[in-house]
Amino acid sequence: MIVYRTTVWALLGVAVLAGCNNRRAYETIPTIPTSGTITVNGVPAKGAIVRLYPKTKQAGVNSPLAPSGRADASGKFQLTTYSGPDGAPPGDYLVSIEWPDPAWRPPGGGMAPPPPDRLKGRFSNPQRSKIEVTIQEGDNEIEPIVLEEVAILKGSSLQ
Amino acid sequence: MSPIRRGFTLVELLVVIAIIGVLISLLLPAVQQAREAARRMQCTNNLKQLGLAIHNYHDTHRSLPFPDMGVTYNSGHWVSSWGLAILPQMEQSAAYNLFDPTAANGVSDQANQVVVGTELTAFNCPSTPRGSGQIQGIIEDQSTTDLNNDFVAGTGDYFVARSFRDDTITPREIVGALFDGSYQSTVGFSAITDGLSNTMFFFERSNFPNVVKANGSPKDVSEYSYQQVVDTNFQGWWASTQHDRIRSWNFDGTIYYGPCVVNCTNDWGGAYSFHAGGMNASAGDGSVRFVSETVDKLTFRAFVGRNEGEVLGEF
Repeated sequence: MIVYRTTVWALLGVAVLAGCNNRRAYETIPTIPTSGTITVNGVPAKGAIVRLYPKTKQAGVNSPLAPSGRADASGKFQLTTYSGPDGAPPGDYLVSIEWPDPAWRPPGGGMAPPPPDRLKGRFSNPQRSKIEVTIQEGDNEIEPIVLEEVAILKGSSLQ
Repeated sequence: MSPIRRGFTLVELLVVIAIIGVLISLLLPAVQQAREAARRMQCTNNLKQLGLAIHNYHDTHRSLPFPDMGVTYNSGHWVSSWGLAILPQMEQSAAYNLFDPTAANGVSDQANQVVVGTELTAFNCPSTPRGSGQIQGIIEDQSTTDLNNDFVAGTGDYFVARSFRDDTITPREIVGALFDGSYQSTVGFSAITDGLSNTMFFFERSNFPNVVKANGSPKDVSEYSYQQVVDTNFQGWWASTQHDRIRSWNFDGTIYYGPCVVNCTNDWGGAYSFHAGGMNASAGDGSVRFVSETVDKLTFRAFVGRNEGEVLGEF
């Protein structure tokens, strides 16, 4: 009898909790979890933002979905389209890379322009970066992005 | 024959207690939601006041206020922020008259501490956990004399949109109300060719300088996209440059340019409020609209832009 009652209460509790759990409702198209690595002049580019711009219009969306990821200390990044490591919709992409300098401070205080790109904007335009990737079903790791002999912003470090 | 029952059995008491417990557990969230609804209503009213004040300002000056504080970056470019400019229209003439626009250090001057430090509830949304109060402001050093080293400023949650910026859309930037696109001059209502009711004037970017991600969880310093702004406390107080490019984010609020435009982060250009399900924004006609979190990015973009000529969809 006691077991039966406990079960009933447990079920009731679960039902109440489930009712409270309202998730954000937004429409998504399928994505494939994807990761990659990026190095600049042989150093893992911690903090670099890798962004994938679709080459052709994606089906089922109003505005283009551009998956992006930020590299960790080992240069590894996970792509995010909506949230978490959900990856990227399958397709062909042009890639842009920006590497903001976190140590930079605006002179004299005040409202600053965006932090400068340590790669001096060389790869910030996807049309001119000459880096392309293709995301396809079952393909979970894009080719490592290796940038060699890149001119680094004066005064910035690779760390 | 059993004796006549008096009082309740243990089982009956337990059942009654259980029922009361369930009823209370139903009631408490309702009370909390009623409180939040009241705060949201107050917040809506504040935005309405700003919308009306800007109309009165336009009637007086034949233009919208110059939105930038412009105090430091280009020296000699001192003008007042929109928050300071509309003080007389917010029934704060006394504070406005105390303000000295000729002070060497602008808002950071000791001469202006009293005005800038004033706590004005009309610039704060009651739903913001930071609350209304004072925060450390920027230290401006145009001139070392009379520099206010203990600068504190009255908080503010409402912003105007400089533009909507998203590199994945062409054109990547469209200009918002109050901006001429170059900071050189002010604009009037005539420049808002999309129509005042179709153009956003004020929106919420709450809780600065405390930066949050989606669901209000604190954002770690290492995740800031624009650490300089947070470090220097340049925003989050009503007398400051309370404007920014609105940027889209992913739904986590961790990287900008994504499918989310409302309530994902208050970091760099993120429109953010602590209301469940969306954010309040006032349009140029003075109406206050609740913008849902699930609003389409292009619809929201069209709402921000003042002259891009797109038809504003339902939201």
